This record gives sequence, structure tokens and C-alpha cells, in this order.
Amino acid sequence: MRSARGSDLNPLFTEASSSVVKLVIFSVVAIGLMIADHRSGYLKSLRTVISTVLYPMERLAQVPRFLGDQVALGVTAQRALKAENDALKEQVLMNKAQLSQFIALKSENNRLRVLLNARASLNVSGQLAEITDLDLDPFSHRVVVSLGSAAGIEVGQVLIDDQGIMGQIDRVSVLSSTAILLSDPNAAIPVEVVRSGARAIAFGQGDPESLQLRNLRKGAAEAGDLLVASGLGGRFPAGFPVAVVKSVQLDPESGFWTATARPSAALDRSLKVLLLKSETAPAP
Amino acid sequence: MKRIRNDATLFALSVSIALVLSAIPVPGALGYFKPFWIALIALFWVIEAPETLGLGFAFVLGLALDVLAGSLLGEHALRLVFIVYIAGRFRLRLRFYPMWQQALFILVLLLNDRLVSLWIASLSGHAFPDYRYWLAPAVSTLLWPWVFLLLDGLRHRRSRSREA
Repeated sequence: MRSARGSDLNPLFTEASSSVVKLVIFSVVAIGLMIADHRSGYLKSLRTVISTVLYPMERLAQVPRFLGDQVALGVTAQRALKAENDALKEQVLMNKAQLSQFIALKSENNRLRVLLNARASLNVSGQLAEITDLDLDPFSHRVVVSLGSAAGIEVGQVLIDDQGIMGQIDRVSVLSSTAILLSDPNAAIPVEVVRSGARAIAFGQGDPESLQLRNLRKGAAEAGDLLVASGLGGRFPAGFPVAVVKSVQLDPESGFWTATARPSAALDRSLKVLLLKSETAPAP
Repeated sequence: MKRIRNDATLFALSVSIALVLSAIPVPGALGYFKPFWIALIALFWVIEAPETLGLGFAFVLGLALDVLAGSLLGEHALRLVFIVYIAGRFRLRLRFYPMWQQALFILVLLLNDRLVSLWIASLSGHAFPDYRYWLAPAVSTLLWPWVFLLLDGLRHRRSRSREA
């Protein structure tokens, strides 16, 4: 009697405890993975393997958009027009970007400053892409872009819209890639104040409407100043607009000034973006 | 035996469709309404046929989602393992709940999932999201009865037609 009851209870107990053990093991592994992924890049190959396995599904997931595009296009003649229109739009975007770059360069020249080496490359070429924004992770300011390694996208390519720099590609899979926006709390971009020539680093704050510049000298930046990428470090091409200074405060502890700036690019609104080919000169 | 094989086909099919649904790009603010498809499918299977879906598989599915969504590798894995574990614990009770009570349980489960995700986000130093962050669990909950009825219907029809 007693043993019968014991054998009734035992399996239940072991089943429960083994699933707790599993829960603990899987949680620990998951947390370990997250830490490894957060701290370093050596999970890239695992990501690539998984993304290759998922390729057909990712492909299938593009079907609704593809069908939508087809329906919207209608007949073939219209498709040709659309192709032309797309090419023109890309051209306009490119021109606007270049134009804004030239404006920045002009005021630079007016001050007769010696230009940095990184500024030499002015040839901008890029690919037009769409932001598809999976948005499963609303904390980090990242966007998913519709081009991936199949289109030749590489980690480090810079993302711009018609107003300025938006961010940089930080992960690439076959059909899409992920870009980290300037407003991400982990993002930073070397900038230069066009008016004064002061150089600083603009940090993301987790807010698409503001970047922060710390440890500025007095008068280095004023409200309304345009900030352009300085090109130092070679990651971002020099001269592209980054942000406009909104306000400047004195930090009483350090004696330096802190500026808040509004990004020129519409970080949370642009849907069409340009991925610049990474042919800017490497850091001098 | 046949029942198990039927389940396996439907299981594979439903999981694949859920993965595709989660990978469909959603523009802008609509993303906040995006239901947690994989969790809904996983919940169905863990409640109705726990032998099809263990914690290990939930973990693997989570990794797949992490890659699709571009989140930290392991984030969705951890969240799905929690969901499947908790639902598995309450499985026997859940099966006899009326639909609305089941849906309520799932709402609580998914809100808890949001807390887990918030916790992960705070560890990696992200800003606190706004109220829209909490919309997705509500959308998922509203979808639950339909997902459940659809899969349950398919499951029983298939097994009946095979037996006949």
C-alpha cells in the first residue's frame, strides 16, 4: 500500500523538479547569450547561421509587401515609370544630401580653416532603402532596413535621409539589416560646430529629438548652431549635417558647457533612406 | 500514433506560419499593435498537447525570433521559455477554463512577459518606453480565442478524417 502510493507520487515529483531544472538551465543559457551578445561581437556567426536557416521565412514575409507593390503598380508601363521615378527620387535625395554637405563646406571655407584629410572624399554614392521597422524592441533606437548582404550592404555603412545623418548599419543579414540610430543611448558621433569649428562628440539619449554634447568650452556652441559630422575616426563621412543646437547649459561642477541638439534627420519618421557606400577615407 | 503524426504536421505548419507573421515588416507606429504570434502558437500547443513543445524548443524558437527582430540574442528565448514554463504549470487548470478566463490568464501571462522584457531592457541600459508598449499583449489576447478555435478545429478535423 505504502509503496504503491510512493510510486504514484514519485513520477509527479521528478517531472516537476526536472522541468524546474530545465527552466533554470535555459534561463541561464539565455542570459549568458544576452550578455555575450551585448558585450562583444562573437555571436555574429551564430546569428548568421540562424538567419540563413530562416531565409525562406524572411523571404515569404516579404510577399505581402511585394504583392502590395505589384497591385499598386498595375500595368507594366506604369512599372517602367515607377522605376524611373524611383531613380529620380534617389537622385534628388542624393543631390539634397550633397547640397547640404556643400553648404556646410562653404562656411567652413569662409573661415579659411585647414580642412582635415578625412574631408577629401566628397564622392557620395549609395543605395536607396526602405525602413521596415520590425519594432519588436522599442527600447533601443534601431531600425530594420530593407536591404541586406544580398544587396551588398556591409556593417558600418552610414544611413542618411534628405536632412542629414540618421545612423549606421550594425548588423547585416541576407535580406535586411539593422541600423543603430544616432539617438540610441549607445550611439555617439564625432561632430564639428560649423560656426566656431569646435569639435565634440554628440551622444544619443534614447530620445529621437535630442542629442547631447558634453564638455564644451565657453562659446563653442550656441543655440541655432549647425553641427556636421567631423569625419574624425573615419566612421562617418565629414560634412554631413547631424543636428542643430537647441540649448546650452553650464555644468557648474566641471565648468564646461553641455549642449542639447535636435538631429537634422527625421530619425523617427523617415521611411526612405540612403545607405552610403563606405568609401570614405579611413581614420588618418 | 496517428494522432501524434497529425499533430507534428500541424505543429510544424503553425509554427512556420507564426514565424513568417512575426517577420512581416510593419511600418512605424503599427508595430506597437503587433501581436506576439509565436507566443500564441506556443501557448496553444503547450496547453493542448504538451508533448509537442518543450522548453528546449521554446528556447530555439526564441533564438529564431531574436534573429528576425534584431534583438539581443537570447532575449526572446528567455521570454518564451518563461511563458511556456508558466503555461505548462497551469496547463491542467487552463484546459478546463472557459474561453474568457483562458484569455484573461493569457493577458496576465503576456503582461508579465512585457515586464520580463522591460527588465532585460533595463539591464542593457535602455530608456523606459511609453504606454503604447503595453498595447501588444491586449491585441494578442483578443486574438487568442480565434487562434485557439482555428488550431483546435484543424486538429480535431484532421484526426477524425484520418480515422474514418
